[in-house]
Amino acid sequence: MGKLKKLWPLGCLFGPIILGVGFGALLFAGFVGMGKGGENSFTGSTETTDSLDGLTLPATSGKLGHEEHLSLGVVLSYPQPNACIVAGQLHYVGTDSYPLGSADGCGAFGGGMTSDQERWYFNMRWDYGDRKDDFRHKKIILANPEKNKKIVVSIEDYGPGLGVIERDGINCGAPPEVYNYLGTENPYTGDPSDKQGLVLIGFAKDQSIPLGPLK
Amino acid sequence: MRLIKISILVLLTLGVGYLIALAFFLKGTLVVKPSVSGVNVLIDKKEYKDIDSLGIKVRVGSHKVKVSRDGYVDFEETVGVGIGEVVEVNAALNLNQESKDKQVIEKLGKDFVEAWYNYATQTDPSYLAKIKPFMIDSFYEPTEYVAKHRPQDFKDQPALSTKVLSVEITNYSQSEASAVVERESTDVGTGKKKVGKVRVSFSKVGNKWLVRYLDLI
Repeated sequence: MGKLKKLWPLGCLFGPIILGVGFGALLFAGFVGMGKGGENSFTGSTETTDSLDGLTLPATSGKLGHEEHLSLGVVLSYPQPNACIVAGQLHYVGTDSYPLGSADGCGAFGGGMTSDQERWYFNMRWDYGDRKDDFRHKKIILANPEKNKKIVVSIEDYGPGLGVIERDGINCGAPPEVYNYLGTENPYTGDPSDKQGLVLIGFAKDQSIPLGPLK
Repeated sequence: MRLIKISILVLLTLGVGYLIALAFFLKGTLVVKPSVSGVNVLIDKKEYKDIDSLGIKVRVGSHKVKVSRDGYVDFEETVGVGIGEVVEVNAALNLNQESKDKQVIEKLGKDFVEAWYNYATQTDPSYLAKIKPFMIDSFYEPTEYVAKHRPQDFKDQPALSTKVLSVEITNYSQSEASAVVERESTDVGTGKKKVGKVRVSFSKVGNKWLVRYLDLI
């Protein structure tokens, strides 16, 4: 009992620190778990199509650029619908993720994504016409033909800039979880005509397919 | 008396016959002067192909003249030609709507690509202001988004000067069109030249053709 009395001040001093470290470790473990992202066991159709409900792809293959994460942000209806305010590091965090850079925003559609849609997002230079909203959240299946890997991603952004297309031939992009899973090569070669980082691109025929790696 | 009657009848018959013979054998001249070359001219049922101008003898009387050429509205006129008369038909051919549209699209494609590929940097507000008038809103808006929010995509981008070498319209309808535009761009810093092609898609908004999309090919 006397010993316990002696340890009391030490407990007060180190207890919160130990609890904080423990809680932090649990959080980190949770993020790591999210980052690994297991393959889904979807049993429906995994077929793809070049056009879906009249929407067309800018290309059916391309070099996959390495994107950073988008901010999930705070979506407002003022000053315009879907106005999005980037709020700190509010985005998917996983083992492959990087902090948001200064250039990042909520995506070309103004945010409004779920954490999963942001985690597995995809961008191209979509030919919106007058159907921009129809592209939003549409599911795309990317395939790396060299490694026979497929992943379901969600349309959440527009890009890349023509500077990248001209220099490297990169015509689409996704965050680290996507390109790391596919195992695509580094596309930043300075040669727009090579095929490094090549992926095949198609709309998922069955749009109910879950996002993430496919078996 | 009977002889007089017979004589009058013979004279009348001869007169009418003479007039018929005149109409059949005597001719005038019909000259067709189209406003453009390489036209097809149809006079009554006879066709003359790939004509720059035409002068032919025709029987006296009225004749139907039709002048046509691809891309133009047909010219049609009925003219009367008298004995020994020279009748000129000045056929003014006007472009049809498709040809007018294609002229506009060709110029728009050239002007747009030269504006798009002439820059110090594509993220500069003055560059965006320069290309905006060419584009439909739903193409300008993501272009502006990329320039403002993805400056990393334009890092180390060299300044370009560009001239268009050719514009080939590959698809046309009354409201949509696309063209392949060949350009020669010069890196302003190094003087290095590069020839490339882009596909430009157009939409007609109201009465105005605008650029809907651009992609590299």
